This record gives sequence, C-alpha cells and structure tokens, in this order.
Amino acid sequence: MLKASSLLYAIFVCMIVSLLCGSLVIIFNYQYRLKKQYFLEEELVRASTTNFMQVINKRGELGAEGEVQFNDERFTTSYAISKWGFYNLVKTKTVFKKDTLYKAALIGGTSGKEKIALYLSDLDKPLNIGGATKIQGDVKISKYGVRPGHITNNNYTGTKLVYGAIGVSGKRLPVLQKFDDIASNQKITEILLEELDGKSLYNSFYKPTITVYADGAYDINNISLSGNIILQSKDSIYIKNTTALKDVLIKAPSVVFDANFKGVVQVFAKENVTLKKGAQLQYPSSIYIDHDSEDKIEILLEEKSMLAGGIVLTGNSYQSSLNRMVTIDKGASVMGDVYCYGKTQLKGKVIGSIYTDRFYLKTASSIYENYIVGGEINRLELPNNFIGLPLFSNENTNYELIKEL
Amino acid sequence: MNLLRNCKLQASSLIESVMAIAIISICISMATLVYVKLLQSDYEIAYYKAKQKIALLHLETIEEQLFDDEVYGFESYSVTKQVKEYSPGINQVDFELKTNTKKETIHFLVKVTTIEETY
Repeated sequence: MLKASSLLYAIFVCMIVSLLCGSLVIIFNYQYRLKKQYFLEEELVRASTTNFMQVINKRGELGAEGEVQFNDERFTTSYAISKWGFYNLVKTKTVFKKDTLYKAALIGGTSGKEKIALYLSDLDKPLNIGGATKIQGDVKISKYGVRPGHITNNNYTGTKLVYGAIGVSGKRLPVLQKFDDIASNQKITEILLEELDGKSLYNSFYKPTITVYADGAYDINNISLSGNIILQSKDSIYIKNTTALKDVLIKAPSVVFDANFKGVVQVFAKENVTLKKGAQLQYPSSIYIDHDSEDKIEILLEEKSMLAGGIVLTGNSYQSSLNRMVTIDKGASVMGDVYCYGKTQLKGKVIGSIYTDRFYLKTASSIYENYIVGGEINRLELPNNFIGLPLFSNENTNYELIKEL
Repeated sequence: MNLLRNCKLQASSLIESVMAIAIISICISMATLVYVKLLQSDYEIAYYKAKQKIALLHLETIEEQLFDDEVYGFESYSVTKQVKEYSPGINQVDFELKTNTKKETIHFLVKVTTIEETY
C-alpha cells in the first residue's frame, strides 16, 4: 500500500469548481435581475408615454384630476391638469412597485377652424398696401377690399395684392375666450426678489408655485428663474439681458425686455410691453394685455426682435381700442397669432395670422390709417404642427404637446 | 487543506486516481450543465435585435403614418405588426416578437395626424 493524495486533490478541485459555479450563478442572477429591471423601466416609460397621450387626447372630456390606464393594468397613471398662462399644464405620475415616473408638459389646442392670414374688421375702409408688402394666405377684410396704396416712394411692388382668397369680415373681431385664470395652482409660496440676490431659482411644476415679488425694483438683472415661478410687480419692470427666464410667467403693468434678451416667458401686462432691439422671446412665449385706458397701451417689437407664440392686446371698450396699438418694427418678427383689438402697425413680418381692428402707419411726414407698407404676413410659412395661442373657444379642439417641462 | 492532509487514508494510488477522475468528471459535467442552463435562460441576442427592430418600426409608423398590418420575418426572429383603432385620432399598434425561446407583445398608441392641404 502506497500513500497517495489524488483523492485529496480531487476534492480540492471540486471545491474550486463549485466555487466558480457558485459565483457564476450569483453573477448571472444579478445580471438577470438588472436586465429585468431595465426592461421594466422601459415598460414604465412606454406606459407613461402611452397614458400621457391618452390624457392629451381626451383633454376635452377629462376632469382636472383622475387616472388613466392602458391595456396593461399594472401601470396606472394619475394626472392633474391646470393652467399655466395661455396653455394647459399636464402633470402625470406613473407608479409601478418602487419606481415612479413623473412627467409634466405644456399642451395647447389646434382647432380645425379656417386658417387665415389676416382678419381685418370691416370699418368701411379698404386696406391699402404699399412697398414690398406681401400677404400670403386667405384674408377676411372689409367689403371695400384691398388696394395698392400710393405713398411717396413706396408704391406697391408686388404682382398680386393678396396671395390667397379674399373674404369679407364682420364689424367686430371674433370673440376671444377669457384668460382669467393664468396659474390655477392653489398653493403659492411667496418670496422677495432681494432674497434671491443674484442666485438661480428652479421650481418644479410638482411643487407649489413660487411668486417672486419685484415691487420697487425697476431693473431685473443677474438672476435666473426657471420653471413654476411667477415674477410679479406692481410697478414697471425692465428685464436686463443678464437675466435668464425660462417657462416663467410675468405679471406687471409694464414690462421692457432689454436689447438682446433671450428667454421663454408669458407676459401678462396692463399698459406696455416693449422688446428692445434684438430681444428674443422664444417658443412658447406670449404677451397679453387686456385693459381699457385713456392712455396709450402699446406692445412694441423693436427692430430685429422676435417673438414665437403669440400676442393678444384687447379690452372692452371701443373708445380705448383707439389707444391700443401693436407695433412690429422693420426686421422684427412674430411667429404665431397676433390679436389686436386696436391698431396694428406692421413693418416687420408675421408668420401666422393677424386679427386686428385697423392698420396704422406713421411716417416722418404723416399718419395713414389702414395702410401696410413693407410688412409681411405669411400664413403658409407657419408649420402645420405649430400650436399657437388658444384664442377662440372651440369644442373640436385637438390637444397637442408643446413642450415637456 | 491541513485538515484533509491530517486525515490519513490508506489507498492504492490507482483506485484513488480513478475515484478522483470520476469525482472531477462529475463535478465538471455538473458545472457545464449549470452553465448551459444559465445561458439558455438568458435573453438571446435575437431578442435584443427584435426589440431594436420594433423601436425602429414604431418610429417609422409615427413618421410615415403606416397603419397596415405587416409581418416581418428575419433569420432568428419575426415581428408581427397589428393596427386597430383605439379612440378617434389614436391607433393602437401592437408588435409581437417571436424568437426561438421567447414570445412577447408590445403595445403602443400612435396619434393619427392628418396631412393638411397646402396652397
């Protein structure tokens, strides 16, 4: 009999192999669970997107809060719909076990109504156009039609007066829907502008709205506000181009945006709003004034300024409509709708539609009524999927996503 | 190891070696079995390929508004597309993927966009 240790080594090898096998099983198990988790998250995102689409599609039929489900009952999405400026704010929450997916977005309506380039109230005066004016799209104007205007050195240079069909308008502009409730979030946190002291402030749309009071501070500079925030003042405010504003609402009697300012804001003013040279209010921005006054109320877009979204200048009395004016200077542009219950001075470009009572033109030597010289209205250039302001109430409104917040 | 070394066994080296080889063979064959089982229960490459294809087909459906039922056959998997109206303006698009070992249906909702006439 010889002493040998093969068995010993065999057992040792067995132990090593079983350790390897065991670690393989553990690694695989973790990897498998990770993959399962990944696929589940993918499903959660898909369910959230699908249910979000259902909420948007049924917006007209749904209440302010509720729940929706798709085929798979595992994923239930709760939603809340409120107002954020002109648009509807949809907040959804999809939960599955310990995973929760939040989604907030602005939605706006597109109606199947006629899409016109110009609606000019019938005040028994023709529309006169001169210079390089171009109107592309259907128009509704007074029964006196459109004529080439004769202003010194500014005779009409185009081949057709209107590149579209010409219809007859009514005595008044189409009735606007009311925009009383601009932020229907009940809970509001208030802070003073001084407290921010040049800092950045972001507020999620899942939290109570923050109102930043800027009373007594004329210049707004060196701050960054983003999200669920209302910048409010009882006085006029001048927003410097060192300010960064994104998705916020501004409530002040008079607002001036500094030259080359860039931001996304919805402005609700009372007296005046001015975009200085090169200022850009990016989509979805808007300016709204609903006010009657004996003083001049004006929305002014200076040279090379730009606004994407829409402008509404309105009021109740006809008398004060004579003091209301939207001016779009040469080189300035608006993408979206311009609704002005008053005068519109158009020297720049509107990609979209204009609804106005009358046009106005002031030159160095004279003032002309119902004249456009050098302005452009182009309804055809507006993308079909562009979501403008919900100006008119319409039962057949289809809601679309504007942007995720 | 010391414990094993102290446990003295009387053995013939030949029989012992045969036993050792047998034990190691059993052990390795069990390990191979475990490994094969693990590989089989994992998601196969065809499954990932099919998922990628479905993501592509979904985007294509949205972009090009393709609402016809289709069957897409590939070497290692197949995808069947079925379309039905979910609500006015929204279609439900179901993609069923089949691989050698897995079968799964993925549901999507796709908005029907009307192409407007231009002037």
